[in-house]
Amino acid sequence: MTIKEYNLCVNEHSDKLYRFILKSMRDRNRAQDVVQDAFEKLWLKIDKVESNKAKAYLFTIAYNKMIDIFRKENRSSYLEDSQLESGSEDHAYSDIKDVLDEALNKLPEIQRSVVMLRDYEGYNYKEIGEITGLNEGQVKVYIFRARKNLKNYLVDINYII
Amino acid sequence: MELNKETYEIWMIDYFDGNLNSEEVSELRLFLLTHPELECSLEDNLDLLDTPIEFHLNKESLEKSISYDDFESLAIDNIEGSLSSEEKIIYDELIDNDALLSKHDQLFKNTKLLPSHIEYPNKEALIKTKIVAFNYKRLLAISSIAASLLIGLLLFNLEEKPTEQYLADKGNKVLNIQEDNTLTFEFKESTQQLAVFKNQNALPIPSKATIEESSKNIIPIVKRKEAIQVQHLSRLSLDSEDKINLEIPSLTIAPSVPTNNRISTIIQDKIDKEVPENWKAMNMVDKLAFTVNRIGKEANTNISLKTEKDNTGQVTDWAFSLGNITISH
Repeated sequence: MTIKEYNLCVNEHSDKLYRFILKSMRDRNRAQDVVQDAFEKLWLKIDKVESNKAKAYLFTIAYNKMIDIFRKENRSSYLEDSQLESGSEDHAYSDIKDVLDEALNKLPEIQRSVVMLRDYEGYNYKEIGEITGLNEGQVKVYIFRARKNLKNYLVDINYII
Repeated sequence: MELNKETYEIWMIDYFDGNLNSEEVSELRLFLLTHPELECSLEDNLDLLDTPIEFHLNKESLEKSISYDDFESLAIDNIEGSLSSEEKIIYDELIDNDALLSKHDQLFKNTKLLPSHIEYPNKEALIKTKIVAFNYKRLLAISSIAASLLIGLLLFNLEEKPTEQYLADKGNKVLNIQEDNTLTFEFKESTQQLAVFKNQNALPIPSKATIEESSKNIIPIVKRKEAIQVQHLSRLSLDSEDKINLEIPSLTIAPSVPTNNRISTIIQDKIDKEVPENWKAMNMVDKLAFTVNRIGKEANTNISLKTEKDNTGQVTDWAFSLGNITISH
């Protein structure tokens, strides 16, 4: 990868990577740290990473870093599939996007990550598996669970379509 | 992956996918036997894990009543684009003819996340414009030579001209003259400051006229200090014949510039934590910082040191950045 290609990566992927990490961590400062760390690692490996693999490399590094942070903080929900809490809180949602963001925040980390990689980045199951260290079957299961949980949340809050 | 209460479901999925070897199966079986509270065994079916059901839709199955679980799998497959063209047609017909299923189908469709634009605020700090790759020894040698040349040049010139005149000739602006006649200069090529401490017995004190002339554009030192939140001072005491000591802050931070603040704070933390264990890297980086600063290649306040270590803690890769100049292993 050339310096020009690296800089192109910064322009094309930094926002998306930040969105992915920020929505998972919900902490701007730490999300910025993770993104910066991922790009620094890419920079260190600039001679080894091909430009067409750079995005997946960045997401993999950032995801692993994020999971490391969660582990250190004993955020045990990053892997477990706890049931989604119903939306009993009194929220004034302006539209379905707000409701979905709320529901997304309540998903277990692994479910949230795979569904975001799927919907935001358009990755297929195999690519998501490469980033998260899961096999395709596991990715499919987690996406299935995530969508069921999200849908149940929409039902629970009696959201009117 | 370690087998515990948080990961055993993944192991179970692997087991049902046939991805576990015999030893891993034995380990999983033993784990489940020793954790009866999980109420799970390898003989349980996949429904326990809330796993998608493989359901294939065709005209025949449509004529029978399909369960809601089957419908859920189909609805999610529909979102995921996993339905065949034939299944898609039949599925569309199914929801067209059932108001309740149609509503649930819409709910599933609403689970598709819509991308929102979120901008990464420190993008410019990630941009690189130049890379110089050296091996460690060569880099250290070049740095030392460059530093020596610069120091020599500086001392040579100091002998010829008053300190402030030399620095002024180089385009450096006098920031302030403190009560003890210490001059503080700002390098034109960076925001770093160079304080020149004079031994009054060795060098003449600048004339009052010189001081007044140099002080026209004074930025009060107090104000300047307020703008500096963290300083990592890398003292370089050059005991020359003139007994001039240079103290160069190798890291300055302007809090009003968030990028610099963030990067510098992070790197400062890394320097504090990592450098003592890797004194060689520190030595090199300090020399590099000094060299790069003094050469003044478009440096600004961004400074970073990133390292990668192997399992033994040995530094295997590093990248040192100052402004938009990056030097890496």
